[in-house]
Amino acid sequence: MPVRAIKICASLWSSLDQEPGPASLHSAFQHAANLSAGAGMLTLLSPGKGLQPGSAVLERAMDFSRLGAYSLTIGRDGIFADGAKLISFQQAQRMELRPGEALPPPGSESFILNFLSGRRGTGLVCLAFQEADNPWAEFLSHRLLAFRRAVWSGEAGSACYAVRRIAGCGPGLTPSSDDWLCGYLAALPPAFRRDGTAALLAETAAAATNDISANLLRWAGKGYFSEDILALKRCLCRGGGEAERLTAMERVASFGSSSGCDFLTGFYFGLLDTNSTGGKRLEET
Amino acid sequence: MKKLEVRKNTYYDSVTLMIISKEVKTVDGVNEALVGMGTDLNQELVKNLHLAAPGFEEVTANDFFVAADCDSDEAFAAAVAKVDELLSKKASKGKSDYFPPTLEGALKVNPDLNMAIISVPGRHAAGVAQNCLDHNINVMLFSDNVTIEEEKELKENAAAKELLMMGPDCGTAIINHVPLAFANVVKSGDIGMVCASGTGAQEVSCIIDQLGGGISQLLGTGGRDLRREIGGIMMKLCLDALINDPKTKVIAMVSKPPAPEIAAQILDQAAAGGKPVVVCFIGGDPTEIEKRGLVAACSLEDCAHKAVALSKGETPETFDTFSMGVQQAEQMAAAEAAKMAPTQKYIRGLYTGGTLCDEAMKLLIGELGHIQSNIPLNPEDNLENARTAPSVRHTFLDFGDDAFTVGRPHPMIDPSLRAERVVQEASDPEAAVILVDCVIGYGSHEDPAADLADAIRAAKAEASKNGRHLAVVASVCGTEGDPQSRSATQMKLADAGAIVLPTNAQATRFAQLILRRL
Repeated sequence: MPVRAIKICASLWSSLDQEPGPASLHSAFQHAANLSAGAGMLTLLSPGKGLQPGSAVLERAMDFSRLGAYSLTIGRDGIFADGAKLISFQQAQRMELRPGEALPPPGSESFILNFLSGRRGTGLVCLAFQEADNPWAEFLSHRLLAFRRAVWSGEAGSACYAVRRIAGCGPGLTPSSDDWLCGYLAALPPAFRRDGTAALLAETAAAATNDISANLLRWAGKGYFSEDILALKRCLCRGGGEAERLTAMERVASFGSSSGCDFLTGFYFGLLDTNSTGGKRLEET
Repeated sequence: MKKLEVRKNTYYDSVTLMIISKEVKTVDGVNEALVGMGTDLNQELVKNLHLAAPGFEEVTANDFFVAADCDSDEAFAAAVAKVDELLSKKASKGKSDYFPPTLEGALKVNPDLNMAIISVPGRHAAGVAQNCLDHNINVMLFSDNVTIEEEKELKENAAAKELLMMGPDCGTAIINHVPLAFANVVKSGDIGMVCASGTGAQEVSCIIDQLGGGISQLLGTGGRDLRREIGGIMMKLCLDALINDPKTKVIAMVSKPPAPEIAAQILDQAAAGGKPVVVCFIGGDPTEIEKRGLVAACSLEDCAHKAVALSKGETPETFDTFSMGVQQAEQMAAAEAAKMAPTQKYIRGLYTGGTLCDEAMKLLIGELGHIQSNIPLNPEDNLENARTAPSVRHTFLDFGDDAFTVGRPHPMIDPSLRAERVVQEASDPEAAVILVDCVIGYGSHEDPAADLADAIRAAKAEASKNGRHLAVVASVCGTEGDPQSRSATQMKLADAGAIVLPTNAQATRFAQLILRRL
C-alpha cells in the first residue's frame, strides 16, 4: 500500500503534470526529504510537521534515506518508485499557502520580541536585542541594517546589492540569514509582492545560497509561507489571545534548529519597519 | 594550522549541524572551528576568522564543510572522527520502518534477502512469487486464488532450485525461530514440522510448547500440496530439508489425508529418512503409516504428545483422553446436560480455524453420522449459503472459508462475524452446545477473546431467558508467550461462562460427552 500524503501545497500540486515525470532524491533527513523534479523542489515531511510551500505531509514516517535507491517519478497522483506507487497524493488535502492581504496591526512586533527574549542564544535572535553574541550575528548586524534601509528606500538596485551581502550566511542547513530574510518578506506589505520587489529580492538571495534554502526563499518571494506562519499571521491580525499567540509562535519557532527563531527575528524586524514607515517606501512618501 | 573537511553535495539537518558545531570545538587541540554550508558569505566569514585552509575556495553552497584551526593533524582527525560519530549516531537514531514498494527496491536495500512473504491479490500472486524464485528467494505465499496449474509450475521451479515455495494459502510458518504470518511464540527445540494446514500447525506447535518441547523449523506447504495434481512437491522438499537438518531430531507431519499414491511416496520418503516421524493425516487411516514404522497420530493433540515423547526419548503413547481426567470430564458434562431443555439436541461448531473445524468434525462424525457444514466431510452435508442460512441439526462452520471472507478480513483478524453467529445460535431452541476455537498469536486479533466473551454472555443470557441452558465449550490455540497470552484468553472465556478445555480435541470430546447425555 502506498503511503498517503495527508496534506499537499496546492500550488505545488497544480504545477505537477498528470503524467509522472522523472525526479531524484536531492537530500534526506530524519523527518524530511527533498526531491528534485521538473516542477522544482518537492519536500516530503513526516506526520506532525506543518505544511511548507512546495511540500506534502505524509500520514506515516518513512526512512527517507532509502529513496535514493529508486528510479523516482512524480505526478499529480503521487510519487512512484521503480514504477510502483510509493506515495499517493490522491486523498491529500490541498492547501493554499498564501496569506490574506491583511498585516498584523502595529504593536504586534512587541509580542514577538517578548517571545524571542527567552531565546536570545539562538541564531540571529540576539540582533533583536541589539546584541551580537556569535560570529554570524556579528558579521551580519550592519549588513542587515543596510538591507532594511535599502528595501525601504525603494531603490531596487540598492536592495538587490544589500540582499546579496546577507544571503547564505550562518550555520544550519538553511543559513540563518536566509531564514531571517523569509521572515522579513512575510512581514512586508502586499505591495512588495504585487510589484515584484519581494520576488526579486528572494531570487537574488537564492542565487547566493544552497538549493534547499533557495527553494524556500523563492516561495517566500512569491508570497507563500508555511501553514504555521500563516496561522501566526492570522492570529496576530485578528488579535488572538495570549495563549493562542504563544502557541502559534512556538509552532513557528520549533521549525529546524534555529530556523524558526531566525524567521521570527526577521518577521519582527519586518513588522517593525512596516509599522514604523506606515508600509510606505521612501519614494512613496 | 588551518584544516578543512568538505562533504560535497551533502546535507545534514540543522539540529545535527548545530550539535556538530558545538562538539567539534570541544575536541582537544581544536582552537576554533566553523561548520556549515559553503555559501559565499559563510566562506567570507571563514576567511574573516582566519580559518580558511588551502582548497577552501572550491567549496560550493551545496557542500557541507568543517573549517578549523588545530594544533595538529591528529587533532583535526579527531575532530572529523567526532563529526562522523555524531552523524552516524543521528543516522541510526533516525531509522524507521521502511516498506520498499517493489522486490527490486527491496533487493537494492538488502541484496542478501532470501525470504519473501507474499500477500497480494491472487491474480498477481503467481507472477510475484515467480519473480522471487527467479531471484533465489524462498517464498511463503499467503495469497490464495492461485490456479492449481500455477501452483504446480511455481513448485516445480522452486524445487529445481531447492527453494521453499510455501503455499499458496500458506498462513503459518516458523523459520529459524521467526514466526511468519499466523504463528505463535513457541520454544526452540528439536521437533521439525511440515504441515499442509495452518491452524493445524499452530495447534500442534502450541501443544508441543505446553508440553515442554520446542520447534526447530515449522514449514508450510499450502493445503493443496498433497493433491494428486501437485504431487506433494513441497512436502517432499520440506521433509528432505528436515531430514537433513542437524537441529531436527523428530519430525511431525500434519495434513488432511492425501491422495493414496502421494501418501505412499511421502511415507516412503519419511520412513527412509532415519528420523522418528509422527504423521497426523487428520481423520485418515493409520495403517499405511504404521506399517512403515512411522508413528500415526489420531488428533493434532496426539501428534504433539507423540512428538514430544520421541524428542525426550520416550515411547509415544496415544493421547485421546482429558487432561482433567475422564471421570471429572464426565461429571461436568453430565451436569451441563442435566440443565438443558428437552428440545436441545444439537451441536454448533463455530470456528475461525479451518483445520480445527475439520478435526472436530472428524472426531465427531462417527457418532453423529451427519454434520452440516460449509466445509462438509461428505458432499451431501454441504450447507448452502452458510453465511446467511440458519444452522440445521448438527452444524459446523469454518468462518475462514471463502463463504465468509469475501470482502472481509479472516476471522482470526476480525472475529466479529463469528461472535454474531454465537449469539444467533442461542435463539435456536434445538441448539445445545456451541463449540468454539480461539486462535491467538502473531497475526491474530489483538484480543479475540473480548468479542467472543461478550457473545458468549449474550448467548447464554438469551437461552436462559427462554428457559434453556446453553453449553459453550471452547479451546484456545496459543501459548503463554503470545502477545494475547493463553491463560489470559482462557480466563476471559471462562469468566463469560464457557467451559475451556486445553485443546481442540479435548473440547470436541467434551462436547461429545454432553451430546451423549441428551
